[in-house]
This record gives sequence, structure tokens and C-alpha cells, in this order.
Amino acid sequence: MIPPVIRRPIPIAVLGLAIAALPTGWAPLAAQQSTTAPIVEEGAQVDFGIVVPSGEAGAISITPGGAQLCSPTLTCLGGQREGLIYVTGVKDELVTILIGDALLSNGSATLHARFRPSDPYLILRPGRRKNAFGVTGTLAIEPHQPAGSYSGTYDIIVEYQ
Amino acid sequence: MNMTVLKALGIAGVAFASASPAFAQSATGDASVKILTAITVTKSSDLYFGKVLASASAATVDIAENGSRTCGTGLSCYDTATAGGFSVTGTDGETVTVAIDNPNISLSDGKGNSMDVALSTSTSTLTLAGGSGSFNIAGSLSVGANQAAGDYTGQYSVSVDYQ
Repeated sequence: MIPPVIRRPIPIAVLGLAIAALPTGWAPLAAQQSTTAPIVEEGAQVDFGIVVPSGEAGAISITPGGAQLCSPTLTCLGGQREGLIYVTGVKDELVTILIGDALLSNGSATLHARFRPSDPYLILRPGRRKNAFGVTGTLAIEPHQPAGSYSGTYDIIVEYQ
Repeated sequence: MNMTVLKALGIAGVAFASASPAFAQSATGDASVKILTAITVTKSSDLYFGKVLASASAATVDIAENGSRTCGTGLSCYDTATAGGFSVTGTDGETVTVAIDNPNISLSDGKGNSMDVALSTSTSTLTLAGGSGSFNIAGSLSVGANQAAGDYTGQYSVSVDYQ
């Protein structure tokens, strides 16, 4: 005699209990993604280096790779550095990077700087690793720019797509 | 009943996978530059060997950086000699390098006669305390035997750059 097959439905109440019993701090994936903004950290500041101005306007640029490009009207003496920014966020997500202009000041005079990310997009790697991108820029130097140490900050916006 | 539950879970899974985070994060980065004052170099004194009475033997007249003069054997030296002198202005606290562009020059009387001069300075770098500094140039003049009389002149140049 063949015993009858008994099919037991999965009790919905049991499934609900299982989710409720998950460790504290865990949240469903969708909830994690919608509430976790990317973490943006500065690894290295942009340094345009040392510049000797002249009676004519000019510009100094930091290129990807950190080279210093200098107008013929300026004397650039090195000391430059490309900026470095780290982004940590949800793996495999595409983020866009926007960087604003900035004014560098020595307390009395200012300089206008424009910045560029090394890539306007970034796909975040898994494992919550820090995803790096470089920041380069161009600094406008006015004729007879007053001497001094100029500094300032620029805004970075990193947004999930 | 089973089928109903499975379908429900499948739809939920699709919903989770396609959910896209919409949050953005803003942050600030830092930037800096150092602007230096252009360097100026001004001659403060000529390198002057004075008046020299030549002899039948070749000899040298040496002017040290402090302006002291050593007159070679057989020569007679007159007048007050001076070392070459330069003043430098630039950015306070910065170090500059000093170089003589043409350390070996010739002085000429414009009549076909000449004498060689070797130039030197002990100043290879200079820190611009208060935005200024100075350095001197020494010289060694080679006076030929029976050097022709006359006014001998020549030029040299120096370069000063931020280090």
C-alpha cells in the first residue's frame, strides 16, 4: 500500500518569524541601499605648487598624473600634487561625481580655481573598499598677484545613479 | 498555497534587486598654492681691480669677496678696489640659488688688448631674510707681461632663482 502524500503548506507566520529573528542591524537590501549615502573622504589635497607671477595673467594646471602645466607668463617651481578622493558605498553602484569651483585666499587676496575629477563616473567595487578618483584643476593667476600662501576648499558631490 | 508564496517572494526579490539608491553625499576637498614675489637682482657695486702698473712679468690681481686686494708679484696696485656686489629681493624666508653665468670673462680696452678674469662667489644659496639678501663676487685678473695701458672693461651676469 502506498502511503498518501501529504503536502503541507509553508506557514506564512513561520516565514515572518524567521525575518524577525535576523541579527540586529541587518536590514533588507532595498532598505540598505535607499538609506546609505556614499562616504566621501579626502585622501590628498590639491596642491598647485609654487608659482612666481609676472605682470601678465596666466594659469597653472595640474594634470592627471600630477604634472604642472604653467603659462609662459608664469614661473612654476614644482611642489604640485593631484588631489585624491575616496568613495565608499553600495557595491556595483554607479555614482556620478561633481566638483565645484573654489576661491583660494591668503586672507586678503583671492585666486579662482576650477577642479575636475579624473572620471565623472565611478562604479563602486564590492567589499566596501575605498574607490579612489583623482582631482585636477586649473588656477587663474592675475597680473602681479600678491605673494602668499593661498588655500581654500571645493565642494564634491557624489550621487548614486 | 505553495505557488502563491513562491510568486510573492519572487516579486519581492526583483523589487529588491532593482531598487536604486537615490542618496548623494557632499564633501569638501582642500586646495592650496604658494605665490612668490618675483625676484629682483640689483648690482650694488662693480668688481673693480683698481689701477695697476704692469711689469715685465705676468701676474694676477685678486679681489676677494670682502673687497681686499692681493697684488701679484711685480705689479703695483693703486686706488680702492671693490668686489662685485648684488642685492636680491624676493619672498621672505625663501631660499634662492646664486650662479655666475659666465665665470670666465675678458676685459678689453677696445684697441685689441685684453685681460682674462676668473670670477667666483662663495654664495651658492641665499635665504631671503625679510625678503632680501646680498652676495659678492670675487675676481682674479690676469695681467700680462708689459700689458698695454688703457681702460679695460667687461661684463658678466649672475642668475638668481628660487630653489
